[in-house]
Amino acid sequence: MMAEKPLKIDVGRPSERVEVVRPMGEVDMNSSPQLREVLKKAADRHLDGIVLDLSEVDHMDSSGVAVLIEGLRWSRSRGIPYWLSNLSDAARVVIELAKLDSVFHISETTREAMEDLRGKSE
Amino acid sequence: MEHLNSRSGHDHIALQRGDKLVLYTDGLFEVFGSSGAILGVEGLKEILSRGRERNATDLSASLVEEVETFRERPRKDDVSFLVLELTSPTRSRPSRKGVRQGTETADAPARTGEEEVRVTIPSQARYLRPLRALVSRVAQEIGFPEVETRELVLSIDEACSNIIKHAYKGAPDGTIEFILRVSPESIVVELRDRGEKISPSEIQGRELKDVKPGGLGTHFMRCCMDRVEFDTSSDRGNILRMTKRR
Repeated sequence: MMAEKPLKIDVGRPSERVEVVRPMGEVDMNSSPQLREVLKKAADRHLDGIVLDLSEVDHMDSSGVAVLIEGLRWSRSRGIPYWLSNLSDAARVVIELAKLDSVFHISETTREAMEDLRGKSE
Repeated sequence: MEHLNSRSGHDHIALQRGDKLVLYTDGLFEVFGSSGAILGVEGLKEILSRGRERNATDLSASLVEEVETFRERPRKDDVSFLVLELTSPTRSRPSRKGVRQGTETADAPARTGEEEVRVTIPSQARYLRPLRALVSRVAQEIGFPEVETRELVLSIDEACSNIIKHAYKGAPDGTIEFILRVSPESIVVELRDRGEKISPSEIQGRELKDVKPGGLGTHFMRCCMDRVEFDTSSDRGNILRMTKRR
């Protein structure tokens, strides 16, 4: 198993109206408020889409899953499409245990999520 | 299951950790069912056999429940019983502090082939990361598979988060005693805190069909571990035991 890192969150704008949020490291009780803050700000920007790239998540617990659900709620209430992409094993395990794999839009890759979003806005 | 029945003289029986010793007066089994049949020692042994995997607290509760379910006629005698379970290996003499409703937990030497890792962390979320790292490295060291290791680490993380949130209510000056027991058959995790007593029902997993944040931690623990037991028999604090088979 790879050594775990503390949480870093990268926020990118591959297109003007879509934000890609990429948490890197561990999402736990200590670090999940950081991710919550970033998602809340993204939702408040009323973008055309939010993609949460989970490829670099080494560990995620129920507090991290709770933040993913909060992000979905904020986005839905503002009519913003909200995609998860590129799930690491650590992220996939908890999403499946919580039986949320059918609740979220999940794409294999971030590129695929972007294409889906583009298709939606056209 | 061994049964000691001497009316005089001495019997010796070697106890190891995990073993339970049940002492009782005859009032416990001299009860009569609907057809006038007596429960008797054999009936009592059957009840104890069925509950042998339970901890001392749960075994006491199920013993009372099953005897009362059997009993249809008024009691003629008083009842006393004690369930003693040998648990942690820290002290050489049994502690009397754990006496609760006829149960007592005492300490015993580790079983042969069992190894133990202990660490105490402050009740602060920032210590979860080093604890997870420790558990991962120990699991790697003993050749525990990666998927199972992830489940073990997740369960420990969730259990400690519950202690920080519910037992200590965010107070940073508490402690969490973490004990990992590795044997050829299983990995047993024990977490002890000195915070407020948590009722297991308080942190029960919620219905998954409600998509909302919170309440998932206990559900994760139950999914990832083979056994999860909340031991509320101590005077203060909580003991959580989780087992994962190898």
